[in-house]
Amino acid sequence: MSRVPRAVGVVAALALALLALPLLGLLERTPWHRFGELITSDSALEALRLSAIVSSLATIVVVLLGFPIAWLLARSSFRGRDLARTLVLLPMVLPPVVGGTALLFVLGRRGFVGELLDRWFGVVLLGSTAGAVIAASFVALPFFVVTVESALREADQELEEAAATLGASPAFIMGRVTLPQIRSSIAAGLALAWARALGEFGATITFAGNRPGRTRTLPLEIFIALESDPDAAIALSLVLVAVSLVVLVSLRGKWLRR
Amino acid sequence: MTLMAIALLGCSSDDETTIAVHAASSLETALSEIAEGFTANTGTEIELVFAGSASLASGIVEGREADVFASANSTVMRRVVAADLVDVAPETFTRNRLALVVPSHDPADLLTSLDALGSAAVALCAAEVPCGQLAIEAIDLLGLNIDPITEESNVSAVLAKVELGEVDAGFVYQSDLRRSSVREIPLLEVGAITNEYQVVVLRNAEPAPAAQAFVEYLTSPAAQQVFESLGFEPL
Repeated sequence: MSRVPRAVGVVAALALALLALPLLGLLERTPWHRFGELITSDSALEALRLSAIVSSLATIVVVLLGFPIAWLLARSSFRGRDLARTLVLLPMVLPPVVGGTALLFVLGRRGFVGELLDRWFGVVLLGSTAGAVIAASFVALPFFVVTVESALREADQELEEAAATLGASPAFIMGRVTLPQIRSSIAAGLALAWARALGEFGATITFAGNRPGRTRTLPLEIFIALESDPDAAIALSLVLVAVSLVVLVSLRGKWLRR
Repeated sequence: MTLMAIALLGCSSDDETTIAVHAASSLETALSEIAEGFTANTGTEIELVFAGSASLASGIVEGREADVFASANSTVMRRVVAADLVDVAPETFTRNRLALVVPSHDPADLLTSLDALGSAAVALCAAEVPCGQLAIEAIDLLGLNIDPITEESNVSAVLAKVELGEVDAGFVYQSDLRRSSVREIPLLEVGAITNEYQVVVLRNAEPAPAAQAFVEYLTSPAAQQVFESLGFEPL
């Protein structure tokens, strides 16, 4: 304690205030007497249900697409691996609205893939839950890949080599030797990806639009509610804060306890 | 250090009069031009903030500093009046007309017949914002059965979706047509469905006379000519 200069403590306190004050502001403005009513209104329940569906489906997509990439990035060296890793990380730093715009120009009705989807299958992603899932998957994928990739790097490779000398196939080694070692990291990656998908706003509203029951997830519902009923927006924001805290607490064993 | 940075960010030069005008996003082109004329005439600088009327109203009610508020309808304006933030009655300074538009290539062939509108991909503003209220009014009057595939938070987003061909049709304002490649489908049978733009000087306006002068300038012939040239309805 005594080794930290006083000025560091002061600035750190400012930083904490910057993070904590908005939450206090939210709590201070929460209309508690109407809270239950606000978060159980028809539109709120519809958005909650949709958010649960979209973020869960997006997490499934993220695992199916993300695990092979993580494996590849962690365990093989190939030309363009750095490029591939940069691509995977990009959605983490890219403003989601930019991601949504980019998705629109590929998968939108006039995009070079979207046009074919529309013409061949009559699939239009704007206004569809599938579009919202794609947008959420796009932003959530890196969180899972990064977590699992670094766990795979840290996993004990001598055990794997031993298994290999005993004749185990790479798939068997991954399933029976490596995966059990990195179980907690996979869970952490899942939770992070799910939480990121739950909070997704910019790419969704840009690419999938804002359609009640189909793409109007909780963050979009909050955004629209701010226009007409700020109390509802505050109550729903608090729900998202609570969910985020639950995710963090469940990850505590992984990161916060050092 | 941090406090100093915040102080620097917050400071503005005091050698000229500046008023902050918060205005509906559908006024962007018109007010930018009008503010230029006003500044040239009076020397008063105008800081323009454009967003959906409803979110601007929420901001002002929450204490965001503005000198003048221009709303795209009277319903939203009433929220600011009800919050006891003004001393004078809002004034109507221009009007706009709702327009049903399609992309230039008209993918659903709506220019030929509106019959397909019920099954077409349609974008509108959300019911919470003025352009959405106007669109819903029109849909009711026309007796249409429309399930919009997206409800945007402002009219520019609707226009963008139509321009990009992401939807087959959208409800926007007539004043949006001049700056766009979209084509309008006349809705003659219901007549003109219009909204009234209202403006008010907020009680804490500083300096109040300059804010009042800007509000009066909006109904001057010079300003009205700008509105008219952009496709707004004459008063």
